Amino acid sequence: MKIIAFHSYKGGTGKTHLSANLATVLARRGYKTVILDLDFRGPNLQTLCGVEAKTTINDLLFDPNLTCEDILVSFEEEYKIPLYAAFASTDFRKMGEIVRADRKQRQRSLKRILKLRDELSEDNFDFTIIDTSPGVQMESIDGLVISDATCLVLKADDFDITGTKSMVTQLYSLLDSTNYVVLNRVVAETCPPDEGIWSEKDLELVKNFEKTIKDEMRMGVITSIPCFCEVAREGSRNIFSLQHPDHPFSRYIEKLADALLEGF
Amino acid sequence: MEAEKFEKSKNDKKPKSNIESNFETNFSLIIQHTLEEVLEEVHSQIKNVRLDFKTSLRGIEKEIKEIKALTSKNRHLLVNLAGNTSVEEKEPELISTGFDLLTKIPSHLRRTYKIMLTKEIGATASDVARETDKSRPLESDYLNQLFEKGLLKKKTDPNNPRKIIFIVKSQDNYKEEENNHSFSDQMILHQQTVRDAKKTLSGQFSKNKNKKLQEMRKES
Repeated sequence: MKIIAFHSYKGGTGKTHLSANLATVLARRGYKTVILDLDFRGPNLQTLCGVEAKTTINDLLFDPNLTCEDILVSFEEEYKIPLYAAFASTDFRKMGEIVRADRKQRQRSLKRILKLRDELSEDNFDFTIIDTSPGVQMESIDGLVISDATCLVLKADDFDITGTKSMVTQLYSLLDSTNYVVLNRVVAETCPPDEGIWSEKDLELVKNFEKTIKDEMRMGVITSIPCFCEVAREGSRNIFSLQHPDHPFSRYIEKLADALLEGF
Repeated sequence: MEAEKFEKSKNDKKPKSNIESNFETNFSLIIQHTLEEVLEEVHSQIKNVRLDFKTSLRGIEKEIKEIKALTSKNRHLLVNLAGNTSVEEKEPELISTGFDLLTKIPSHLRRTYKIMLTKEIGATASDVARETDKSRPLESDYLNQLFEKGLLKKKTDPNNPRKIIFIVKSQDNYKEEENNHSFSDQMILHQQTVRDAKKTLSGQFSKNKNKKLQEMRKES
C-alpha cells in the first residue's frame, strides 16, 4: 500500500478537494483507495462527500477497541468504484480532545495511526490518501511521517513563499517520503485555458513560475492545475471529478495520478 | 611603762552608758525581726515558685500529651495517604508525535521504530526484519541502537531464553510492567499474533498484486 499526503503551509489551498479528487481517480482506475481526513482542526471531508459519519478517526485515536472497519465508509455501492473514506469528527468536543491531548495520549494517537495504516494494508488497500491540517500541527506531521509521498499544495496567487520555504527547508528535509509541489488554482493571462490547455504564452509563464518554485523550495512541481470557474462554482458540494470525469480539471487530476504512480 | 599607764588610764576613763546598751539590744531586735521577715518572704517566694513550677510542669506535660496525640494522628493519616497513592517514578523518554520521531530518531532507525510502535507486547529482531524486508542481524543492530538511546527496553522471552523481545518505552508499559500476564495482555498478544500473520500473508499477496499491476501498466 502506498500513502500520499496532501499538506500546505496555509489553509484554503485546496488540499481536501485535491485529495478527494485524486482518491476518486485512483479508485476509478481499479485501485482500492481510502481517503483519511486527518484535518482534525478543520474537518470538511464529510461535507464534500455528503456524509455524516457516526464513528470517526477521533474515536479510533481514543478507543483501542476500534479498528479500521469501524470507521471506514464505503462508496463502492454508490459510485461503483472501490473508494472508501474515514472522516474526522466535526463535533466540537471531540475536536477539543485532540487539542487538549497530553504527551501520553499523543503517543497513543501516533501508535493508533500507525496501526490504522497496518490494518488498511492488511485489508489490501492499494492507496491511502491523507488530507492533513495546514502548518506544523502535531497531527498533520503524524500524517506526513507515515506517508510515502507528500504533495505540498500551493495556491499560486497568494501563497506565503517565505513561510512555506522555511517549513520546507526545516520539516520536509527530515521526511523520508518523496516530496512534490502541486500548484493549485493557477491564474495566467487566459483564465481558464481553453479545454484546460495553456496557450504558448501562458505555458511559458507557468513554466517560469514552476522554475522559481523549484529554485526556492528545492522541490519539483508535479503539476500546475489552472483555476477553473466550474470547479469554484461547484464548491464543496461534491467530488468534482466523480461528477465530471471528462472535465479538464479531472484530466489534470489524472495527470497528477500518473506522475505520482511513476514516482513510486 | 608609760604606754601601759596611758592605756590603763584611757580604759579607766571610758565608762559603759545605758544608752549604748539599749542601742545594742534594739539593734539586735531589729535585725532579728528583719531576718524573720526576710525568711518569711523567701519562704513565701519559694512556695510561689514551687506552685508556679508545678502548674507549668503540668502544662508542659499536658502539651506533650497533646503533641503526642497529634503526632500519632498525623502518622496514621500519612500511612493512609501512602497506601492510597503510589510514588511517582521517573518517566521514560517519550516519542509522542511524528515531530519527535523526525527530530529525535535518525532516519535509518525510523522505520524500525515505527514498526515497534505498533507492537504493544514487543517484538523480536526476526519479527521486525520480516516486516522491513531487511536482514535479522541488521534489524537486531537497529533495535539495539534504539535500546541504547533509551527508546526501547529489552526482556528475554519466557518461552525461549535465547530470544530477546524489544518493547517501546511508554508511560503505559512502564507502569503496567508488573502485570505482564493479565488477561488483557493475553488478548493483545493474541490480536498481535493474528495481525502479524495477516500482514505476512497480505505482504506476499500485495507483492504478487503489485507485480500484476506493473505488468498491466506496461501492457497499457
